[in-house]
Amino acid sequence: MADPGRRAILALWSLALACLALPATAAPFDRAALAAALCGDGAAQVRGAEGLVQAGGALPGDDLAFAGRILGALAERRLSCTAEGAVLLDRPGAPEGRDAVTDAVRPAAEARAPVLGLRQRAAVETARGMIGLLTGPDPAARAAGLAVLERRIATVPEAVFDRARDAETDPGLKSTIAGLAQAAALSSADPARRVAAIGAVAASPSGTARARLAALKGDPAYATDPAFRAAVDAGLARVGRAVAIGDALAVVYNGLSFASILFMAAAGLAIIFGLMGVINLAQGEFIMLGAYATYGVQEALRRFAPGLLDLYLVAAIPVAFGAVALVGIVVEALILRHLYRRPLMSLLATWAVSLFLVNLIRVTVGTQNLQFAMPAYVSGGVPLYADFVVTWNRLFAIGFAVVTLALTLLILRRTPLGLDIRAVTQNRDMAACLGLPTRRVDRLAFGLGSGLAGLAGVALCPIYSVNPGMGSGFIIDSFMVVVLGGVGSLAGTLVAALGVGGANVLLEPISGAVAAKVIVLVGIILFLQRRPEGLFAFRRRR
Amino acid sequence: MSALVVDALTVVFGRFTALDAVSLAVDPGEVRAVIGPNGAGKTTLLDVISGITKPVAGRVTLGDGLDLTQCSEAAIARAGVRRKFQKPSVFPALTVRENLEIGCGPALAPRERPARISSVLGEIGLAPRAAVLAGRLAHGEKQWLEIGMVLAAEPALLLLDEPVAGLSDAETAHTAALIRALRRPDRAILVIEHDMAFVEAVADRVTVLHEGRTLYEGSMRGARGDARVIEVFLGR
Repeated sequence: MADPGRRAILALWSLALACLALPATAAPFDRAALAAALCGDGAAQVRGAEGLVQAGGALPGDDLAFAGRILGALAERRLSCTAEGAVLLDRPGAPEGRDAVTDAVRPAAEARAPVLGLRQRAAVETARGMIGLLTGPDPAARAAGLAVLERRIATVPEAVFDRARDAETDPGLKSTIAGLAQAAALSSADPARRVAAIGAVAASPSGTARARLAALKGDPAYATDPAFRAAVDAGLARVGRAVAIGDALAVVYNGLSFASILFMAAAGLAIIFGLMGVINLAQGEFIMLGAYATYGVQEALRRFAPGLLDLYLVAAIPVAFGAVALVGIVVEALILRHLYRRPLMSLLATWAVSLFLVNLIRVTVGTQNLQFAMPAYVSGGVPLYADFVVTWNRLFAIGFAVVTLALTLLILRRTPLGLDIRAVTQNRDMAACLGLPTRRVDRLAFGLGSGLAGLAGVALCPIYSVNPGMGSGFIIDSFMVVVLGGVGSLAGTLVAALGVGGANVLLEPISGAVAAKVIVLVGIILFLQRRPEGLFAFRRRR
Repeated sequence: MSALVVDALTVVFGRFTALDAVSLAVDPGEVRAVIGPNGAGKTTLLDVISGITKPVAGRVTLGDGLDLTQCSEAAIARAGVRRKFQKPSVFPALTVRENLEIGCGPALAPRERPARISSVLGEIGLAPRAAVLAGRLAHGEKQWLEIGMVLAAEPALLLLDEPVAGLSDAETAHTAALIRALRRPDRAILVIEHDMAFVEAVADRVTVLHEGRTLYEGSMRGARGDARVIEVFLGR
């Protein structure tokens, strides 16, 4: 006997719970009204779409799905307005479709198809973005909706973001939504929430956050509400400081990556110049050859092993080193061997070699920039602080230079060839007297120095544009690095590369690229007048 | 058979005749000193033997008949001739051990190098300084290191150019003891030196050069008694 009574109580409880779950302010959604509004004139369309966005945070899922269907039809010109109401067509201009509200099949031959103006389209896009964010089946669809909302963040109520954030399952997307929810709260009606939102936005600083906060200075409350004004000013100061630090970090990082390339180019130059007194003006072209060898490896992989295409940068390391080292050894054996102890002649000869190589590549490959595939490990990056993003391509160059430095030091310090190179660099005559095969040491060292230029070519593929003339941009800088660092000193080369690379990148935003070069050059001239032997030079006999 | 034969060697620089038909023969196991006033041609003689200077006439042959005047510096070094220069010519930016490794020469297999280097380090008394950069050594230590470097190649003919110039008395005595310890039946040593006490201590025979010619050859005691030698050295 108790059963029916208990069932009745349960039913009552469920009803009460259901009522509680529904927000008290939410009026039942009028689907027909939305359909009518979208079939109305431009102003009615905007009202309908914006009303939908304003109510969006509280609407049940099936109403959102309905709105999504009809808005989608409107945007894609599949909505047809008859006297009885809106009809959704399968394709634009179809003779019949289904009633938007009742889903009954109805003819639409005589109907009017509403067209969206610019303003209406923006409102409809925002509404569709909101629906995509709230009802999208997968994170990609929701992220697409979010991207649309982000552009018109001031028109979206924070309730939409709060709801999306609470429902979101993807952690990355969830934190992005949370960030936007704070930004949306900046335009909240509740002053306390606005102030809280200012604090929250300022807590995760970026250029965007600064722009959002700066926009609040135009808000009427900025002039009238001192608490709001103080919050905005404090938030702006905090964000500005953080953005400045982030930008400084980015400059240091870019300088470091530029210095890495410079170091790799200059290390080879330093070894060759220190050992043989030959100023190798073709070193820049050796870098270019390294980059072209990398391109060759990429194309070979694309052709014969497309599955391994992403590994082309790694596969190119030994190829570029070997190929350019071989070119260097050939140049040494054919030309420079005859010009030792005649510095001007060898300078001119290597210049001729550089012109020859540039034009050889121009004729055989072409003058256009080469297209490189960007594997995942050199594209994108991680945002570290404010607007400072650690990009993988530059990190690749830096890591590459560090490994190259370690290997070069290992070769010079721990191998018989390295010992021979150091001995011949310090005192060629005596090394010959002691029976060192100086000719062979010269050839191998020239190969090593050229190979290092080839490696620089690999490292700069993901960063700089690769074309036949690219080498000339590097030779001046790397030669300055060698002279500044002190001839024959790898440590000096490293420090000078960091100095020149850093100074270039640091001065560029202040004075422009050309003036930055001028300033760096003047600085080096002044420095060398004080210390002609460079930063790190050891005494030696010649 | 002689370890080194210099036969009627003539070297001309422009109109200056540095060596004028000089001949001498050094036996295996002998320490020969070449003395003479400045400009006598002592260093020029070493330059020809080590291949730096080419003569206009004459021959220099090693024990096995190799004509050194036809060889490059590196080939002469490979044939077992090692020279210690007048100024200490060590590699200043290499460590003592690395200098000795260069001194071993390319012919020695890498496996045998550590043993050879440690034995040379013991002989020249620089074992505790093996990891020091040669540029930081004292002057005397540099001289010994350089002797060690030429020694590391186990040379058949050792050329020493003023090994005690600028050394203190104690260092000179140490160097003399070192050179006496280097005497071996299969090795000839040619020393150029001004310091007569040092020459008397180390040399088996002396050759006195004067203005590019051989003035005297024989024992140091005999040289001290030779009238022409006295005249040249005392300026009478």
